[in-house]
Amino acid sequence: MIPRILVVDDSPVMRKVVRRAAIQAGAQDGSIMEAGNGREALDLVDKNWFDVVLLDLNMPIMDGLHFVREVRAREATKDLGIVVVTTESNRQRMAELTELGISGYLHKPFEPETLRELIAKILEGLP
Amino acid sequence: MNAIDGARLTSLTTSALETVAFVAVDIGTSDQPHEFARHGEIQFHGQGAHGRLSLSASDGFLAELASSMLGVEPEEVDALRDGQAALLELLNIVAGEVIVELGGQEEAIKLGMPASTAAPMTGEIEVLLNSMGEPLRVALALDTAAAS
Repeated sequence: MIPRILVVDDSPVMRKVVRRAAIQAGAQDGSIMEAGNGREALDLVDKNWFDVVLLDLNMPIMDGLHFVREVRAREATKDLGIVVVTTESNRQRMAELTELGISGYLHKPFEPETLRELIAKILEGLP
Repeated sequence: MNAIDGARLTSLTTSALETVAFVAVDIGTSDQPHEFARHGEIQFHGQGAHGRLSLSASDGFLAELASSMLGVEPEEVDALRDGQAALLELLNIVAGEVIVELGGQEEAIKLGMPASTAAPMTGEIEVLLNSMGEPLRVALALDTAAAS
């Protein structure tokens, strides 16, 4: 099965960095989609199947935390795998994300290799 | 709110650059005038801290930064599109480190969105760095009245 990945970040450079790491980890370029904020991402998850979402938190229009709450509230997407990739490190906000069942967390700044290894581990765990 | 000085701001910026882009920088000097082509600014606010952080850089610095982050040659980088986007992402990352430095991980300090600006910001703490002669300027302005 080809894993389908959604990269959500308002920074076009960071979307490219994450896309490149995902490809190096074994994903196919054509199976990766991108969104610039939580609202765009929500539209995409409503219309497409994804195995995992790689999600920034600090974004305009709809932030990452709001996106996770929306996804978890919907029957079709409540179990969607979500990995947060963010500068955010506030303990209270991270505790809320953990309660919402995120699959992983990577704090920026990170080395590209760390991101590649994290994505590879997630892809290996997919059914 | 914890204190932060120029040396710590330098350390946070240097560490972020080395981690995300393998870009090594030296402490810059103001002996010669520097040309900063692009600027960005981000605000943060919370019970423990309120202020602004800005970055200004030359196109040469941003070409190196963007090419390193994207894994392409500097000649393949569009200074306006990729360079500016790389500057704003670096600003976001350094600001994330600065608010932890100021308030720790318990304080709910919220970052705004990084935005391009037409001119450099002045701040109480200003740091000049350079990578192979290409300059990066970091400025931090803290509003202690708003934070109290």
